[in-house]
Amino acid sequence: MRIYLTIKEFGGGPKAFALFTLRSERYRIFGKVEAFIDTGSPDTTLGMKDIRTLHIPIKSLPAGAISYVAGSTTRLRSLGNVILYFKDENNEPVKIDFPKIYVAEPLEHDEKTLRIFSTIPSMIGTDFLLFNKFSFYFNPSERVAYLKSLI
Amino acid sequence: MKNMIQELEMINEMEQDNKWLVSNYEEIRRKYENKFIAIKDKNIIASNPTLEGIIKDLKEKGENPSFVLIEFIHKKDFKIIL
Repeated sequence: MRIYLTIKEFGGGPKAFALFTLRSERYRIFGKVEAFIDTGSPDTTLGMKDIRTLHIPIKSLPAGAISYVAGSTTRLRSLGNVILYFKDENNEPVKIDFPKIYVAEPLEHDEKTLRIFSTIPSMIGTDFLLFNKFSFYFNPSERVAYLKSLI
Repeated sequence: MKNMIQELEMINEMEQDNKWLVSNYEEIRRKYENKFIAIKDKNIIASNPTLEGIIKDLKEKGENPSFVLIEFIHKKDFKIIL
């Protein structure tokens, strides 16, 4: 099974974005998310755009580790278990019950940091690839990228 | 089953709007550089320099920001190392 990804420019170069829906029963959250595959990130993390549009109650989430995103200090908070839907190569829905997704709260509150931070998309980290036993194919020159299930 | 169909439709909408964005990116960048834009059904339905601003604009138009594609249009020379 393959999940094809959309290649878009971000931050000066092409990135492979997954398009999916996210549902949290616990926090009554539902909406669209796009997140690029970031093999440099250990954790799947929602960015400020999705935090705001999905109305995620960031301050009420349990605080986790300090992390660094684009050179800025952030605190990760766990949204816990979420249900994600993707689409496979046959246009069939792929349901993934993902045990832990994070939101990144910036700890530096100067205007420049907050402005840049608000433009950074959500990120799919290596935790997601490992949990689902996905391999990641990325060929930017041919504009082809996908996640492939190894199961 | 109903949920699955709804969610598949949402993903297909996102895919179509993203394809439209990618194929019109240079023109969109000329008009909306350094702004957030909201895309629905291959149309830009709102733009604003700030995230909070575009969310407010969408709500005023009766749109749910959770169901609309929102993008920030960076300057051409913007680079970021994550």
